[in-house]
Order: sequence, then C-alpha cells, then structure tokens
Amino acid sequence: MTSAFAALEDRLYDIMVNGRGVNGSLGSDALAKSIPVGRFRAARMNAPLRDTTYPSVDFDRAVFVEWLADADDPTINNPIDNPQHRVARVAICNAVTYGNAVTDFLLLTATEVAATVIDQPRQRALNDSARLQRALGNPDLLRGGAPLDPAPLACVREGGTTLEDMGGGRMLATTVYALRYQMDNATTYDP
Amino acid sequence: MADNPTARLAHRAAALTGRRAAEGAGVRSVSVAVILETWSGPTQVSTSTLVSTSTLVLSPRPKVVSAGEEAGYFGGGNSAISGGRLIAGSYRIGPITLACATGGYTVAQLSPPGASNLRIYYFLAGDEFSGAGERFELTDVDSSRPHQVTITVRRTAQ
Repeated sequence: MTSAFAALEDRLYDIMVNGRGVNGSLGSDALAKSIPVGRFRAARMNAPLRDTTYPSVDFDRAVFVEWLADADDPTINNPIDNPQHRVARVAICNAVTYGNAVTDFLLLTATEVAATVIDQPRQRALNDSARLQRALGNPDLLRGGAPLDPAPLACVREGGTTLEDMGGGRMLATTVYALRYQMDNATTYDP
Repeated sequence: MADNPTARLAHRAAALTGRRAAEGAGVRSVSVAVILETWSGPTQVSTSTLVSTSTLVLSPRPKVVSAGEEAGYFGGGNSAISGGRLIAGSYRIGPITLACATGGYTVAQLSPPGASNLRIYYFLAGDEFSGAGERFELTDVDSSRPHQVTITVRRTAQ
C-alpha cells in the first residue's frame, strides 16, 4: 500500500517528466498533448524550487509538485459512502534559468538556441506552463491505462499562471490546479 | 617595468613547499576532492545515466575554515550539532597554490566549467563532516592573488 498522495504525485510526474502517452497507447489526443522525456525534469530530491541552495545545473525546466490543500468534493462526503470523492489543490511550479552567463545550464529543445532563450525567460516559462497545463488537463493522460488507486478524475487549472522572478537568473511559474480524485473507502492508504 | 612570471612561479613553488610542510605537520585534517560526474544527457532528466566520474584529490591538503551557514533544503547536520534544523554550511578552502613547476592547480582544475550534463561537487571529509564526508557546491572562486586561489563552497544535495 502507498499513501494516496504518493500515487497521485507519481501520476503527475509521469505526465510531466516520464513521457506518459508519448507512445500513443493512450490515444491520439493524449499523444498530441503528451510531453516527451527530456522536456522537463523533476525537482532534485523533491526539493522546493524556491530554495536558494537548489543546484543551478538542475534548475532550468525543473518541475515541482507542491500540494496545497485537500477537501471533500463537492460537499462533505458521507463517511460510509464508497467511493469517496475529494479535491486537492496542487501548485505545479516550473522553473526557467536566464541570463547571459548561464547558457551552459539550460535544458533546451532541439530548436531552441541558448543565446536567444536566455533573454526570454518570461515567454519561455509561460509557454512551458501552458504545455504542462494541456498535458495535465488531458483526461486520457491523467486517467488512461491501468486503473490507479486513488483514481485521478480531472486536473483543472484554477486561476492563472503567475511568474515570480527570484533573482540571480531564476524565474518560477506557478499554476494552481484542482485535482479531483476518488478513494476506495475500504482502503487505508497507509504509507 | 614588465611582468615577471618567472618570479611569480618561483614564489608559488616556495608557497607550495610551505603548504606541504603544514600538511606534514598534521594540521590539515580535512581532505578535499573535486569530483566531476559526466551524465549521458542533461542532469536530472529521467533517462540520463551516470557515465563516468573523475576525482581530483587536492594535495597538499588545503586549509578549510567555516564561512557561515544558511538554512536550506540540502542542509545537513544532526541533532547534536544543528538541533535538527537543515543547515547548509559554507566553507572557505585555501589558499591553494596556483600551478607551478612543482605542483599546484589551475583555476580550471579547481572549478571546471559547467555543462548541462555535468555535476561538479566538492567532497570534504574530516572531523567536521558527517559520515565518510559531505558534498558541497561551488559558490565563489577568488584567484585574484598571484600565488594562490581560494574557493568557497556550500553544502548541497548528498
């Protein structure tokens, strides 16, 4: 058994960094929205990207799953009902490195030019956020394939994406999602 | 008056002799290694794997002194020395003799240029550090002096 949030977090990272759906097994729409391996990387040792000691070499295009809250959905669940429906608020943080001296530390796509994109952190961060949002919001990528317990149902952006210039050539985009999921009432989800 | 590199190199050699004597007297208790990991692709990407590791153990052992601390996710310490908080300590390493005929190191050896597929860290081992040693990352290089370089490192992911 594993904790409910560990299973959900694994699914989110599978979509963002492990290429879930890129082989077409989850359908054509999932394939179109999928993110290839190497576009993003998981935060090193699950470290918050705002930490000033976060290593520079692992910062560009790092993504971090930041759980914010959890509640019943849509109202208080009857505790003997099965399944139990819940909604978690989760912020997805995606990082961008910028500045003339950091071209060696970029995680580039095949067509990006380091000397160009180091001066475009805001559009790069927002574009990455949009890419992540399209993938996380795709129902086939989120729910398709072998059943997951707890089962993610929908991942919908709440509000907009905000940019935060952390200084020192680091920029962070944060997008808050409502992640609806259902739990089996007979399962403990004991970690 | 022109520059005198010959004199500079001679002074470096003399300084190196003195630093070897300090090590020989047993007053340099911390060993310092510059470790460079080469990965098959960008670091921390899920398909990248470690290809090779090169280690440069500094000789003679340089002086290592505490240079402050800050709270950080990659901090360390145990309940006895940090009260359970994550403390990322900084250390100043040096002076290290710059390269000359009898030894020393170039700045490039001590702070190799970074790349997206490289992890460069400094491994410090001794009484000050837990276990077999701890990993640190570079935060500053001061090679403005003619005979020596001093580097500053901060605790990083282990």
